[in-house]
Amino acid sequence: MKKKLSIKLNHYIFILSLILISCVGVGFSSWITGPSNKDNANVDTNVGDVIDINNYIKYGTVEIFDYCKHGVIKDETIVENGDVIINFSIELKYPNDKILNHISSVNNDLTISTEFSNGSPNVSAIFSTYLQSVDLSVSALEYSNAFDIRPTKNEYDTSKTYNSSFSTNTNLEISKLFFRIKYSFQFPVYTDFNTYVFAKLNRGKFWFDFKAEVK
Amino acid sequence: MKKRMLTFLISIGLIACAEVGYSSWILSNNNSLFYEKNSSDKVAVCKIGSTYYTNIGKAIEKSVANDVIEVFPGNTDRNSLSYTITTEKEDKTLTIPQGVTLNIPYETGKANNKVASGTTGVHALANRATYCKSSVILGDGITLINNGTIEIGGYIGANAGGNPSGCTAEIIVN
Repeated sequence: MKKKLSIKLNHYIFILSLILISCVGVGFSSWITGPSNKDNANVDTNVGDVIDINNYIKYGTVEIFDYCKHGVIKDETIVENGDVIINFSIELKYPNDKILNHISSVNNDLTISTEFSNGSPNVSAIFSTYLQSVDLSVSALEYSNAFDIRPTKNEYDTSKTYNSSFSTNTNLEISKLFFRIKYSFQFPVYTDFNTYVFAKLNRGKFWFDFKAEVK
Repeated sequence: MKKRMLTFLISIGLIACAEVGYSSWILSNNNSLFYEKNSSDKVAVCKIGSTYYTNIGKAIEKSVANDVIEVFPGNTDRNSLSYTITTEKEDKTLTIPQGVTLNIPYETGKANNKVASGTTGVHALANRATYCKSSVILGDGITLINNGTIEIGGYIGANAGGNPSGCTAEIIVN
């Protein structure tokens, strides 16, 4: 009898173990994990090493228009135009390193591809109807407002993602380069904004994913 | 017995691993940026032509001769922040310029707000809940100089001594 009980107990412990193994599997597999940008400093490289420059892209602050259910607000006035500005940078580990050293393109241009994913796809045709322009500022200094680089390529669907590519060959002989990308929207105002934009937002929020990549 | 102990220890070990699995990883979007922005509680409260404002004070500041500042009726809250006239100017003084009309109607689309309602004895502001359809509040410490016209809509009863006797609007001076 005792032996039977012991076999049963072992059986249960075995099953419990299997369940726990499954849980561990879930624990590790269902989350997308990856190095945060802050970990870049720990990448062990020397000047001249072949590196993936994309590991040195850092995302900074975001500036986005204020809005209410009646439209974009600027200086307590409802206006049509609203910008989303995303700051990001390439910051190599060594100050005497050069971004140019890590570019693989033949003509030494830095080509940046960006992807702006709209989190409110119910706002019909947000890109095809409301997005007016996408411009990039590239500077050795932070927060430059010289948005003078136009995309070499734009690909988008009407509401979900907007992909742009930019090329530049200036300021590449330094280790830190600051980028600002500006998405300029033009929305309707008052009841039209409420009907076609605000009412379609998820819980009244604009949200998006942004990704930049050196090609 | 040894076997059971071993199984037990493995189980404990797996529990510990599971804890680590759930607690020590930071969610990351594969080096992309996620951002969200909440909307403001403000609303458009008035307009000049086709330009809408979220503050009546701002509309007064921007107005020029021949403009009509049309306040949107519907606010009955005497403490509404949206309908409180404020300014960021240091002297807290707002001036309605000459030739500008600040129109506070009791109902949208009522071009002529001064309507005689006949021989009624009703005093509308004594029954605000029923009759008052639009409250505009002068903010704390704000001086409003009127060089233009302020038009406050309301039914004026002939027997009520000039008091509003039907639907009406008001400016509250705190």
